[in-house]
Amino acid sequence: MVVVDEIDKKILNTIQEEFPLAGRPFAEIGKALQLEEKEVLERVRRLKNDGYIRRIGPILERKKLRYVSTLCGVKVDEDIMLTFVNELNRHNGVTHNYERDGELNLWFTIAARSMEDIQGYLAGLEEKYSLKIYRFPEKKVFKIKTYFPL
Amino acid sequence: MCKINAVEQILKKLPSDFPITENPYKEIALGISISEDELIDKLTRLKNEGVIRRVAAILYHRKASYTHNAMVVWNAEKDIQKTGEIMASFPEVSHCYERDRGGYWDYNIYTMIHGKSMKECNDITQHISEKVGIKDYRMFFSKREFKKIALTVSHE
Repeated sequence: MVVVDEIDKKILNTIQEEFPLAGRPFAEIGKALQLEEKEVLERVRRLKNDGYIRRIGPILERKKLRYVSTLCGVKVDEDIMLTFVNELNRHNGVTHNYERDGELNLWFTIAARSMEDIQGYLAGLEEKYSLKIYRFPEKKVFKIKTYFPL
Repeated sequence: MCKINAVEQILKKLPSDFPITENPYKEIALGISISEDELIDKLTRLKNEGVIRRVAAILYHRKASYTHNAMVVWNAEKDIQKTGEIMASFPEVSHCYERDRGGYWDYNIYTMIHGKSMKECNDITQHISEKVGIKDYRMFFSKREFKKIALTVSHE
């Protein structure tokens, strides 16, 4: 594993919180951390290439964009796992999909324009693969914030 | 309606992964035929309106040595609001929702917990359990990540 130093950590913590909406964002970050723009840029580039940064970009608020979503849990046998996962992942609205231990061993979230769209899609999958997909629609959001302090 | 569509037009064209250059917004603006100032202005407005929650870097959590994550589900029979707020206050909790029990079990609060080891996740969960006074919960560690992407405005 590539070692990140204290400066890298400071940069990563800063841009996880907020990437500046300004003409020269890396200069802004540099100003806050007392670094040259060039150095910030080089470090961020390296951290991206080394696979620390997944992406830098907008995090959208689903509700404001009129999308509904639900968490789903399903028990999938190993022999069809990858086939099922591949089909599921082709759906644009499937944003998270994890195998977990437990009786329901596959958990995913799916977003679409309406709950009817989601139900129709899931019903099709259930029939095709002879599975029962349990739905756990959200009632209230208390927190969505992925931040890993380094 | 017209306004939402206009917003979506921009979001559709906006890359979910910005270029790492001196002037990333200039580069993006060029690609969608508006000026840099106009783009920054629009994005700022969308952020103020809450359509964009924030513009930020998303890390690969395993690389950041957060190697373990567990979905922890809780049975909160009362004080759901207060319970949810307490759980959300833990930095190790990235997601916290009240959800329907799904006709499957009794659990109605769903949290994602991240840690640098299985023990760390267990300790955090234990700590949360004590703090909210809920003993009825279950933990499901992730085994394989099949997909994790940002929500994008799809082309319909």
